Amino acid sequence: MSQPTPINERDSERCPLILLQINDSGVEGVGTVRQSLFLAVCTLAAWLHLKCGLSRASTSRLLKVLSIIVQAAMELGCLLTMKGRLQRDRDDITSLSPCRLPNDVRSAMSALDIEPNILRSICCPKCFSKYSLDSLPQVCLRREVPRAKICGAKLWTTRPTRAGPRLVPARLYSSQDFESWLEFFLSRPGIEAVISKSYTHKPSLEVMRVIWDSPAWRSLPGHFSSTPGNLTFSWYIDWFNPFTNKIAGKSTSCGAIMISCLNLPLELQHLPENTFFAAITPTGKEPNVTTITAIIDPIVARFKPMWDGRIIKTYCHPRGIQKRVAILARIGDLLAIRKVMGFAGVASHNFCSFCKLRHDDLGNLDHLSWEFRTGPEVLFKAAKWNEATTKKRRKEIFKDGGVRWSALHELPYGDPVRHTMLGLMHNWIEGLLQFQARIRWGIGVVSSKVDEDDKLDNVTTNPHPLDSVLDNLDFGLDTLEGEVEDLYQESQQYADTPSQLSRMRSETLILENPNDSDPEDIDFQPDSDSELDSEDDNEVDDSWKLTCVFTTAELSVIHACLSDAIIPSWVERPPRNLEEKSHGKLKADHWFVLFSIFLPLILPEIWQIPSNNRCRSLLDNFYHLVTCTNIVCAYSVTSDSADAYLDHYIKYRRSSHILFPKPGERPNHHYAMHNSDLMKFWGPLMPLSEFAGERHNGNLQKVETNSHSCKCVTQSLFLCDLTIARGA
Amino acid sequence: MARLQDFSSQLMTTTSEPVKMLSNVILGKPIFKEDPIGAGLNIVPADVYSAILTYLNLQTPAFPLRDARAMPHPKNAHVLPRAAVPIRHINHKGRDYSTFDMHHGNSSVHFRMQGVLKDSGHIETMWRYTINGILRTFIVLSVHHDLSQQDEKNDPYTPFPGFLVKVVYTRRSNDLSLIILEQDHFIGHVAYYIRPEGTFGIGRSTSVLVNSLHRNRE
Repeated sequence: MSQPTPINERDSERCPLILLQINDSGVEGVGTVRQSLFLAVCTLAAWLHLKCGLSRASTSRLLKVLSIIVQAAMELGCLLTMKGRLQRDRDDITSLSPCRLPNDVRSAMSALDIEPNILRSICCPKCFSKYSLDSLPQVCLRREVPRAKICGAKLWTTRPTRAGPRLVPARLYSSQDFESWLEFFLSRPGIEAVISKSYTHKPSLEVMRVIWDSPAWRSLPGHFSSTPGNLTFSWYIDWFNPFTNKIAGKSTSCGAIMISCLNLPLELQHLPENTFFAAITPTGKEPNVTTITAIIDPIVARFKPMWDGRIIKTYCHPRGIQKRVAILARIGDLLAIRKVMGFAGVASHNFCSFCKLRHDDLGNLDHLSWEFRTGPEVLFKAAKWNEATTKKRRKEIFKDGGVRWSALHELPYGDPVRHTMLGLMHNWIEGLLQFQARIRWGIGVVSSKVDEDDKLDNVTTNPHPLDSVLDNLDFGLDTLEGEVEDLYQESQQYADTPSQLSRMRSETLILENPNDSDPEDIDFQPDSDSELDSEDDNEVDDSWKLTCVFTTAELSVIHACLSDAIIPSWVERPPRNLEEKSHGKLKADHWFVLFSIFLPLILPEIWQIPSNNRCRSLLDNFYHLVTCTNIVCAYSVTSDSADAYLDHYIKYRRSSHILFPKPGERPNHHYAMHNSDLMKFWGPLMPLSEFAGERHNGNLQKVETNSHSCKCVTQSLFLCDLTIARGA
Repeated sequence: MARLQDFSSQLMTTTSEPVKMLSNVILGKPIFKEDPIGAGLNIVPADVYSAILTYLNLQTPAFPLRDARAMPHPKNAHVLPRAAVPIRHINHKGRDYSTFDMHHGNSSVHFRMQGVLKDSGHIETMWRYTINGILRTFIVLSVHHDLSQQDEKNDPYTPFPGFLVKVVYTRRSNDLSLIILEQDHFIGHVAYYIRPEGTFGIGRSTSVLVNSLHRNRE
């Protein structure tokens, strides 16, 4: 072994920090270095555990090894120091206590102060009513209305432990404290400067590019959003399967509520460290349309006082400054947002949250004749529903107005109509575009050998009985049916399912779900009005046969385009074999690029047959759809483009009525009529779409849960995610 | 050439012999000679150099840069160096842009430039200069050739502007119309699909460009 060499000038250049500290500050400098070392080790441990997925036990082992290494290094340093020019400090240095590093990753994370303030409460596993541990009864005593039966769900359960079975609360609900998160959020250097840009932004009068340009930004009382110091947020809710969407895997769902600061520029808005993960609903049985309120209540209760303002410590104001907070946009997919906002389901007579058009009149294109809902009216009806003392009365009120109470109505500034988003990703991209490809064009139906001569007279006919459509699709049971299953499961999560899965199968991609109720949830108001409303929808039209408008040869041409079209590297190419089963479920982004990039490159060539009127009509129909897609998915909006959207969309629907009389239109087709008004109010819709929330959901799904199915998994998942977010 | 007159000051074109040479300069690596002065510096091909000089002097006519070849230079003259760093890849607003030989898709761009009617083309080469202490990348871009009036009649996209699709003649390496621009002129990428001759009743190979990728981002 070589002897340690004395410190020389070269060594001091290699480790300037430590030596300079010692030289300049003597022993006090050592203390500073030790603190830096301690924090660095803690950060490393937290990063390995949270970000890299190293287990707690392994991280603890690593900490112990690091501790030994650091001790050895420090002793070596002392030895070197004693031999060097710092001989005079020898006694002081050696008299210092050794550097103690944490032995456990939890201690490390605690030292870093990166853990979020998680609030856990006991809740009923059925109705999600909140209870305290001190007075937790055996069964849930909540009544939905004073004259209803009690819930009766068991609130305790037995858990086997090493010390024998223990009685524990059946379900916990975890949410995060907003004020502590806000302090974390605003304590980061630079964030307030970025936020302040939203106050100094000069709204563009013609082209809306960001939400700061929009009337929505000015819609809160007292110029709230543009007042310096005030913070405006968006609310996003969606459900996901923490065990991912494997067909053979476990199926359960968690609802994630995420809140993003709209004062930030779009590129920063949805970063994990800038997103407030408000809560994750307990796994297992999902809240239904009435019990969802119990889940949202605690979150709304934290936001309600923030409207008046709270003193929050920030980076620029470490002693605190008043901050007011409001929630502006409420975002979610069609089913989730209806459930949260208390609107009727998509198959209800009052199926639209923007207007009062009846479901029977779904195909009505005369938008000037529609009567629009207003926020005060919805609030009034929702309050009436909430005050009703019998289920029967509630049912009557709901049937009349299509509105229930929602905890979000308690926010004094919100407009339940104008501040509710439609959900561009689910409505337009996964809704209308997918419907056009799968149902109207029949991509996915195995074409029989088509006589090309017949093609000139008409498009392909490939009659299959409706109920056997799936059997004849190349998707088979492991893809398209899987897709249908996913949709069904998703629908079930919202208790918005059709009464029969077979109907889902027969119409493949149902964009509506006729039932807002949970049939098993008889103690709580089944949304029977929705069931009543959906009677017509349960009738399967056997006269309609799913057919493919493309011949085999045409599909080959489309395949070639999908393979050979030249695209930049950041665009993800959709599967080339659209109608085959091997590609699995298409993502929303695939549908989008398919309709905005690839199909416009090739379909006009296919349908360029001057003598064929049907081809010309198909091309016109497709043209209007693509034009609308380009407008509604753009990142800038003008009043003219919003009007052009509506004009093209009406032409698209009108031509669809002629070209594709069966199957009929879906509620999504009507909802999309409101995109024009939404664009004029919100500006570009893409920044307020569900894409960002879905990405967060994807990240939540990836958090290692060790495949535990108990509800604790959700909490640990929640904890992990938040910690990652804070540590990011 | 008549149709490109409006930006002819920036256009390096394409008559028979010069085109051949220029294409060789642009596309052929052997002509590039390593500059012994510094790492990564290459002598900029004469035509490209002249075009960059013209481009810069049009921007700041009050303070024109001198052509390095116009020796002798007066004292304290601002001279555009003959050597620059050739680059094949840049990242602009989070997107990768490459030269045509690196990645066809990443080289296909939509741009907007004052006084230039054309709005899309392929990045052929890129040259990085430091001018007055500022790093600037000059992009040599071959603009697409529009359909002739005769062929335009067969363009099936003419009645459908909402597709954001345009048909042009396919790029031919021996027939490039080049302009100089900078990355700030980029709007976004353009996807395209090459169609063989005869498609749409057009006698030449065509490219169908779809310009919806930028989605009107700022």
